[in-house]
Amino acid sequence: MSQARLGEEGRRSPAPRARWNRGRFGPPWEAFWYIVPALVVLSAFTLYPVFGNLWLSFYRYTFAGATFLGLAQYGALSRDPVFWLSLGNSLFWVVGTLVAQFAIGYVLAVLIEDHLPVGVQVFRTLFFLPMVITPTVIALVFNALLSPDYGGVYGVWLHVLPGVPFPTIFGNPNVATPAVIAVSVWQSTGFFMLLYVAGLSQIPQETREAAYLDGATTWGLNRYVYIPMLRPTHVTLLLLGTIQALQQFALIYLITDMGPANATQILGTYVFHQGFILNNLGYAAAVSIVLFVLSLVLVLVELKLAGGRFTIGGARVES
Amino acid sequence: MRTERGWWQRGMAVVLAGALVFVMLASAQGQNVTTVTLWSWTPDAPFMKKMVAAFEKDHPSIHIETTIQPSSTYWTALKAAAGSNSLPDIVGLSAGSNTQIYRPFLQSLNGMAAQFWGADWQSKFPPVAIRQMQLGNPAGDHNDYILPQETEVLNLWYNTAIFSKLHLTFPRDITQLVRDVQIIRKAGYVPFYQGGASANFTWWTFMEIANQFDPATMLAAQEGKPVWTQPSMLHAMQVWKQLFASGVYQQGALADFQYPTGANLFAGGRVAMMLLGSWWLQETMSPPPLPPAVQNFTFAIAPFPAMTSGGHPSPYIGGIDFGWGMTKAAAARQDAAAQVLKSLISGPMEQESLNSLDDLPAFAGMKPTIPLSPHLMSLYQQYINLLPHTQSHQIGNPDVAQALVTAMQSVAAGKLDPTTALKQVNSVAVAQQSK
Repeated sequence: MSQARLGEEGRRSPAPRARWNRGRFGPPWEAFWYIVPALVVLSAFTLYPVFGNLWLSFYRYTFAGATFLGLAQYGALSRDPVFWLSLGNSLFWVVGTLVAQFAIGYVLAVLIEDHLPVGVQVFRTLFFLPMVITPTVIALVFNALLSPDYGGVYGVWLHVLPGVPFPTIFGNPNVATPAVIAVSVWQSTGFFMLLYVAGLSQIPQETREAAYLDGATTWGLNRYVYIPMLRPTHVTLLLLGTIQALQQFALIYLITDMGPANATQILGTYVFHQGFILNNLGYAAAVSIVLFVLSLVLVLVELKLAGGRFTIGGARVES
Repeated sequence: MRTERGWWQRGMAVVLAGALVFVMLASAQGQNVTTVTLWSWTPDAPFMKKMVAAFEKDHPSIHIETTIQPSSTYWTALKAAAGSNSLPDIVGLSAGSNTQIYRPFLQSLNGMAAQFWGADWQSKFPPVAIRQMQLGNPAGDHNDYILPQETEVLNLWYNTAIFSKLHLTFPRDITQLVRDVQIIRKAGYVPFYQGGASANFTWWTFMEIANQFDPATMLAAQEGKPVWTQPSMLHAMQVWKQLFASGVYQQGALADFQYPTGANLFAGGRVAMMLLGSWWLQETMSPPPLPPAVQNFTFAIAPFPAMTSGGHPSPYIGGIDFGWGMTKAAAARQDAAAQVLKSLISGPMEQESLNSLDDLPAFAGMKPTIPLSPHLMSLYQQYINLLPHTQSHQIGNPDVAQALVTAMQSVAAGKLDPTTALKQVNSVAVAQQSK
């Protein structure tokens, strides 16, 4: 069998070469010219900053000059408690947002697609709406709602639970990070829902009917039909959700300014903090290299686990 | 029909020719105009527009091209411009580290200042501003890389309408403060708003407290000496903790911002007192409709109350609000840039800024020329009188300042005790000294 396959490949393989040789598409190297513009853009805006950052991470850089430090800044990172806190928070962000967004987004999509008798469009729009609101507005609204002493929820609390102290949320270092994650989940779940709705609409009605004829319950339908068939959507959301969590900046900066006492600091905000508040550009570059490596590792692991299958704009991709 | 079209075509040709001549003349005239570029985060763009108009009216051969951005993006943009060696001619700066970062690109302004205002030019600026101008300079470098346009005094502002309604007077010490706070809170107001997430207001609060006990040690710490574990500093940190524990500050203070949340609540009449400064007078210049508290300006100023029963309130702190540096790139237009700089500090541009009540003048003798209510005029005059006696509000090293904020937040949140927190600040100060 395997020999037969090899044989088939052997028969197929000369064909393209023959086409090149005939000059139908020009010589083989000519194809590379077509990707030169993309390579130039990629080099200028992706590769150069990455390698520039790597170079910078070996120096103490000021506008007066640069001093070579070798790996000293990476050594300093390993002894920096705020760096470790930021790293832990970054991983917490990835896990926290992904779990919540997957669960809520999926449930909302199934409820809307399968169980909502009317108003499907209205609910889809309502749940997606937070995605289009700028983080500045979201930060102001949530601060105004949840602040003790003068917040909107505090006002209601006073009437409903008089005498019971209102909890400090964003000002409490123990709950500030989960609280900001909750705001992010509120904002982004609509996107997860929308992609699941798109995925569910691709499942043929006959498949659902066949499952019901075979006696599938709602749980069974989800467990054995929807979830396996939505695998490419899961993978896409896993990749996008991971990148989004690691790139998070605006909500943290605007809601807590990375405080109290660095409690909500993540790697992305720590790069900004070191580079633009404290002017330690080389140290910030070292943190950003760690963030880059972390992102790369997480995404590669996810792709490996997913077997390289995901969807882009509804089209399935096999990597 | 044909004749009409011919007439229309001839008319269009004349108009186009006229436009062409106009453009050529304008561009020929433009060749004699020197353009000076200026970037800043303050004064706000509408006020800056008026300032530029005032300057260009007197100097038709100089055009100022301004770029005003919010402070959050301004410092990032400035850093990027410095990195690509494309800084403008004149840059808005604050004293200390924000001037020091750009020192390699900046001209020394001492000679220019002497040329503008005479050999004794330093006597025209308040002592605190003179001290801050060289804050962070390397040892032996006595050049000034920033000239201040405006200064500020920090203090507590309080809403007199709330205090009158509750039959209270502004608290003189901690005992009265704790008692009054309870009365004010019971009446439904936020008694003493603290934006604990706003870094600069947090360290200013520490200075207010520490200056009551040992201003010399506080000043040494601001200038980089590792003296954060001194008993007076520990005492200040303990008082800071107490302000949270005794409920003086609002419950969620550590996540609250002085701007915009606190300032909006204060302007809206929902906060009884908070730490602000001389710039608060500018609220009256906001576009209408103004909140009643601002419209009637029921605000008054007071020092930070004594943190020991029967003790003395804090001395006022302050210094340079913002100033200007001139880059080496401006050398190509040195005379024009110098004219702009002079106008920004002691000429029509500063006059326009003062008329918007932006802040206090750095240059002696300048004052707003717009009509002000007696109450506003009295407050303004109080500030002018206080300015020569204020103590510096700048911390020279941003790492130390940030370490202090983190320490203060950790103490307030109960994550660190005051001694450990101050040891951490001190270790940052030691590390920065050896850099």
